[in-house]
Amino acid sequence: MPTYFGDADIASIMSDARGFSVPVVFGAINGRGIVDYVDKTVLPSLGITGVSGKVITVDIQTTAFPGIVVGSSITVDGTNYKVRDRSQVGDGAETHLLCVGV
Amino acid sequence: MSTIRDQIIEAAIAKLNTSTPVGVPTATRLRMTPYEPEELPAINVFPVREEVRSDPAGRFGPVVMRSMTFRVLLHARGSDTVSPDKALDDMAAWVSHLGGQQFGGLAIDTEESSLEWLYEEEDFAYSSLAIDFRVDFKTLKSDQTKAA
Repeated sequence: MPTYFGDADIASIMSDARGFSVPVVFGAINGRGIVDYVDKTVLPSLGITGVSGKVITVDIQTTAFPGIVVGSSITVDGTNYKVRDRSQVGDGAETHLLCVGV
Repeated sequence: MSTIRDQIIEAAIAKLNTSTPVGVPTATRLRMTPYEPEELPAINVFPVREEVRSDPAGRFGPVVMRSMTFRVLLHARGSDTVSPDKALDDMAAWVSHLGGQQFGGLAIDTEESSLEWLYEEEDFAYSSLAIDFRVDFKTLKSDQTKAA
């Protein structure tokens, strides 16, 4: 498992005490993450209509959730999702998950 | 009095909304605003383009032949058990009944001219299918409300 500079700082940001994060469950791991729900209109045709979708992103501490991959099932703040994309950001200490509803 | 074009669009929508199979939604005309995910599946009908050429024949004066393309736009979303393209299939099968229509004499013929699928995954796996139909009809050169 790689180590990251300032990894402990990420854990501090994600802690319940800060009030930013929500529960994230992956298998037997109960941790926390910062979730955003951003509206986005998808699949317009000729500049009109489309569907009002939602981009669901969850930021987690990379080392707190070993083994998360695309297709992993997770529960975010009580709602079940599948990971549809993931990318480490910065030096890799944080992982950015994009989620799709199941 | 509405144009022949407008009457054809209305007739196409009426056809789609008559004896509609279970699971196929009501077709609407030119919805501009996005659908909420809960409103899916959905069918949206609107004109896209028209080509016009002269037809010197005609009993009531100069006549033009019109080839209008209208779009039947389908929206759906997939799930764990249904792929997003499969979620469009029942609607696509129903919409294909517009092929060959003359809409009570308003049109000479109607043909599917193209189908285009698009996909995007966000909170759900969304899909759309644009089915374009080309419908040929004649009107007077100087009056689109008069069939020729």
